[in-house]
This record gives sequence, C-alpha cells and structure tokens, in this order.
Amino acid sequence: MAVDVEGLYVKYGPMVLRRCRGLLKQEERALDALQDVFVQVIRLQEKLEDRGLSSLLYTMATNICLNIIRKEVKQPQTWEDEILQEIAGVDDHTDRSIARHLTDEFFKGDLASSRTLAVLYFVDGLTLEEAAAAVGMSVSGIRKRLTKIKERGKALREAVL
Amino acid sequence: MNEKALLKEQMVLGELSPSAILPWNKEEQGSITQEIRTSNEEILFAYPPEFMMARFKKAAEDTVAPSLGSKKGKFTLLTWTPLAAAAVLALFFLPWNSFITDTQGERLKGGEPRFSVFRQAGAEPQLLENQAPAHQGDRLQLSITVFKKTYGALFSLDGRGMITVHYPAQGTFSEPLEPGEFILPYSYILDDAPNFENFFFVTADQAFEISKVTAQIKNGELKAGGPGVKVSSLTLRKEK
Repeated sequence: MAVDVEGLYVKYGPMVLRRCRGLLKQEERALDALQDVFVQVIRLQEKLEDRGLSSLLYTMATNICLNIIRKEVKQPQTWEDEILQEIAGVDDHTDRSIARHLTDEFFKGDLASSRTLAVLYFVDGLTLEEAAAAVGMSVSGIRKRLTKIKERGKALREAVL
Repeated sequence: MNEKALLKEQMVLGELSPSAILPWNKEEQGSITQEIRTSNEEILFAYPPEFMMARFKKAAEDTVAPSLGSKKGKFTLLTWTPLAAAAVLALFFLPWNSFITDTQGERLKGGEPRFSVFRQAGAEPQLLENQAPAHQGDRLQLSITVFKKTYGALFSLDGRGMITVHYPAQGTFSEPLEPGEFILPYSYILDDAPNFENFFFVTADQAFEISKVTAQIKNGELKAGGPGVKVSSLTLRKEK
C-alpha cells in the first residue's frame, strides 16, 4: 500500500529542511533539496513502508545536498565546508540507503551511500555505531567504506577515523 | 553543524535505534525536544503541507528524474510564498515612476521610511489610503521610499492568514535599500481572501531574517525593536 506522502511531509518535512539548511546554508537551495527529496518519495511511494523513515529521508536529503554542493563548487569558507566539498566530490554509485525501507526485494541488499556515511561520521559527529544504526549497516562495513573515502582528500585524511 | 542532529531528530520522532545511547541528560533532552518542535511549527507554517504537496507533485510530473541545478520548477521566495491561486504576480513596469514622484509632490527631503499602494483604475493609478476599500481583482502596485541607506522588506497579510513577501523578491534576509523611491517591478492582484489586506514595511539599520518577521506578523507581534527598526503599515478593507 502506498504511503501517505503528505503525512510524511508533516512528520518529516521539517527535519529534512533543517538538514538541507545545515548543509547548504541557503534557504532557496535548501528548499530545492527538500523538493527533490519529496519528489523521490512520490516516485517511491508504492514501494515505501512507513516503519520509521527518519533515517531514510535524512540520508536522502544528505545525498541530494551533496549533489548540489558538488555541482556548485565554491571556495570553502570553513573546515566543515572543505570536508563537505571533498566528500561531495567523491564518485559514488552506491546511493541506496533506501534499501531497508523498501518492500521491493529488488532494492534490498543495496548499500548506503559512502558519501552520506562520510557526512554522518566526519561532519555530523555520529559514532561508527550511530552511523551504522542510521543506515542499517555493520560497523565494520562502515569503517571499511569510510577508510576508502578518506583516502581521497586532504581534509578527510586529517580527520580522525 | 548541529552535532548529532540525526540522533536529536530521531529522539523527538521516537525512532531511535534500540542500541542508541543518548549523550544528553533529561534536561538537555527536554530542551532539544522543545527546540525541534518549535522549529517544526515554524516550518510547517511557512511551508504549508497543501502548498508544498502541490509543488512536489508538479515537480514530479514535470521531470522524469530530478534535475539538480536546473532552475525549472525550483524555488524562489516568491514562488514558495503561498499565494492563493488568484493572487498572481504580473509584470507591470515603470510608467508608475514619474506619476508617484509628481503626485506626492515630495522629493526625498527626509523622513521616515514609507511605502505606497496604488490601484490601477482606468488610465491613472490611484493612491490608496489606510482603510481604503479594495476588491478581489484589484491590481495593486507597491512602491517603497527611504531617505537613508537601510535594509527593508515589504509584506502583506490577507484575511486568510496568508503572508506574501513582496520585497525582496528572493533571499532569506532583508535587502539593502539606497535612498530614493523604488517601484516594485511586479504588480499584485488581490485574490478573494476576505476582510482585509494588511501591508507591513519593515526597515532596520542591519539586515534581518525574513522568516522572523513573517512569524511575528503571523502571531500579531510585529513591532519596532532593535537597532533602527521601523515598521509602517496600511490596511485595505476587502469588500465584496
């Protein structure tokens, strides 16, 4: 059964917008990202189950914001901006954190976005355990992915893993 | 960045993982919960579900896949402002300019920041006074005048509680204004909202957040306060 998208907006929309504001620092860009998240939700509504979607929507928002940052590269103003730009610049074809929320078996078993994981850990300050719980992966799996992504950029190499 | 923001969100939503360990004491948890709930209310007021769902659905229909970076269907502060269907903004350029200066007969000698509302009536614009009657379909033109460099924003609140940001056209903060008269490049057609249309012109010595002012207007708490803050207002009575 399709999820109630408007109900999801009321429940999770403010969280998504706060997330987008935090990463993009500009209201219009954050609203664009919010829209992109819910456009995806509309497209997936037949396949989603409302079993607590905060992790899904939060990671979707993170990944969409990273795409925007990647597309609009600017001179970083802070260390956090620099980290975000480095993470955004990493090629990542495993954007499937939606996997565990989908009823369609086709999607299950896919992996969370490495870039999203990197933001959760390096920028948001989640522990490996917390990040693992957020995206439904093992701690060791996350550590392996983060180690790979860390090799890509100077600021990331200087961060502690 | 908001440290451990996801944990905070999940705590308030009741969606914490069973293994989650919260690094905050009870008092801090209460404070976080209150802060998020207040923010939720502000966001859902500024971006109402019905309006946003219409936007999302249209965007979903317009694009086969999200086109990040494309301006098509993207938000500007005027497009997200929940304008009622009939309250369209139409391009309406400068013939007003000379009229306003001549009619008011006053050329920036000094004084308080002010704004004017004109109604297109036949060939000539009509300056509307406070409490003037107005009707659905009236086409209004707005102008603002300041006598020194300042920051300003112009809003209206209709009888349905809808707030429109007339100036600035986009952005989250008030815009700097140079001394002089500024005719907004868009006219504004009144919709069928009942009872009144209240306009508010807010200026200040420093830039201010648009969302804070809209929240104050919504709560009936808009008043001058802070460095150089001035508020002027005008009400149109809506008649059928």
